[in-house]
Amino acid sequence: MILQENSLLPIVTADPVNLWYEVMRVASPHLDQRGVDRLEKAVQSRAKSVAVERHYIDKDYRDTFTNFHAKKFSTPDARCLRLHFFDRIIDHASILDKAMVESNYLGYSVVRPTRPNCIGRTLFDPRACGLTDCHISLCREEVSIQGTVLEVSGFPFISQDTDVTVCAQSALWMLARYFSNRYSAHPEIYPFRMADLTRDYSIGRVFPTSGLYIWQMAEALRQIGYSPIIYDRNRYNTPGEFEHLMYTYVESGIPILAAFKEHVVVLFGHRSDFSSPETELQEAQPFVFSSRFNREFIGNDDNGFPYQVLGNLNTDCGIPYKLSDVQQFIAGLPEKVFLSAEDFQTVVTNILQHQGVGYLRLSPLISSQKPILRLFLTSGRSFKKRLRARGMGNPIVEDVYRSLPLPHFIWVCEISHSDIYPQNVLGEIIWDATRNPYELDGCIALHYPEMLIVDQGSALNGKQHLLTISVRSHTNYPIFGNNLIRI
Amino acid sequence: MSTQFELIPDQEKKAKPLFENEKAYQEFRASYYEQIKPELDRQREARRLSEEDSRKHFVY
Repeated sequence: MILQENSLLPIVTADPVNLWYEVMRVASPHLDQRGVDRLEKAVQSRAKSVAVERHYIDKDYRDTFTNFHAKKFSTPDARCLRLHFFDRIIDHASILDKAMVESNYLGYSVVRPTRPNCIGRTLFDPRACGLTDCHISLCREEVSIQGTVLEVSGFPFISQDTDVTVCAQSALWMLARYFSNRYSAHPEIYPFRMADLTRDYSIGRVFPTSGLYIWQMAEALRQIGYSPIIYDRNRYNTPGEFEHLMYTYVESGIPILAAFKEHVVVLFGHRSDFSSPETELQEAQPFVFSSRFNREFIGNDDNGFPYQVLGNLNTDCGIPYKLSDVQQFIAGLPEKVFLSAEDFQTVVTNILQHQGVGYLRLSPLISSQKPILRLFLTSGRSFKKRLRARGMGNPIVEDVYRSLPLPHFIWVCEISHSDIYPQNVLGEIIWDATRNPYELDGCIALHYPEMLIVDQGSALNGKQHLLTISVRSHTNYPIFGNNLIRI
Repeated sequence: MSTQFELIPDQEKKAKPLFENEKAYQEFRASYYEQIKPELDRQREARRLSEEDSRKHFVY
């Protein structure tokens, strides 16, 4: 059934078999079969109603239209359609009542008049796409449908238009839009501007684009305020080291650009399995990193649809590559993160094994089993915000952390055991992310169940002055969980 | 110096320096630096080579 078919907001409600046929009929000529196939794969049968917002002026498409498409002899439409998806049957009266529809809103997808890819800016609730049992980065948007403001949280998606954007620019756009939606310090970047960032770092013409080198993508990120690091699989020869670094950044809430031989996608979540850690615990290394339990990454492939998985098995709903096919990745770090993941790992694992301050000497409880370590980056503000709820194992530790001045970003290494992980931890090491790894003064705090070592000197902008505080009673406490959202 | 501020009440009684003297502290720093330097050097070289590799890797 199509309600008010000739209006500017027709609503399509139909059984799952006919819904997409009716949507394409109402949304043509912008929406083509290829676009329908993608949307159907994304939301499958969860969509019960689709509101088609006609004559929608999309900021991202208007940017490429103004700067590129308008220069063509045969110009496409300057306007788009926007499709709003709901998981129940709705009508125009219910759209007027926010309370009636806000819990049923699955998100939106802009449909551009571009070929061969018509799917523009898209934000779906991951649950709408059937995503479960994973942790992902999410941002939030407010969406106005004829004045009714609804909210949707997800990870932005866009397909390439093959003129201004191909996979490289699309992946950059998805990453940058996530950050600008989530953090006000990051500006909103439109597709043409994104593609134009490499103008001074290119040979030959920039538009129509033919693609980008990985270093050009990193340069584009640098131009808009990030501090990118490039990792090449061939330079990290220890088994699992490359994937561990990918995981550490994703776990830190920093989406990464993962490059295959000729393609690039953005990865922003992971799915882990802690149910049988025996294999990992029997390995020869002194620790087990939480990354060893990761089975798949979650990401957006501009040639596919939102929230696809990338593992070592090909699946029907997955990115059509394997994790082992990732050749390089870029981590777009915030400007004030000077210490990389691998350097933090080096300094923190050496502290843990140091004969003077390592856990074997100072912590009988941690020494009783093989420790599980989780490395992640977070802000000092975010870490402090959760102190009260987490308790930190002892009131003294919580009090010290509360009053301790912290840098904008900190690296954290949580220490746990397999019988309490991934719910709880025993302690952590906090490291200043603005430190050079060769400096020895980066250790802000070293918390074992039996004691707290804290650098009061650096905290007060002075010379390192390490204090020990005995912890007489200790309980396990919850892991830090603000970077990613559990789905 | 930092001692004029307290992180917790009665810090003088509850906290003590990790190292007994400056010599012990400097020995810790020296041994720790020797421990981490080779791996940090390897990581720095790996990042440099990764950047070089990225100049040949084209995606479209």
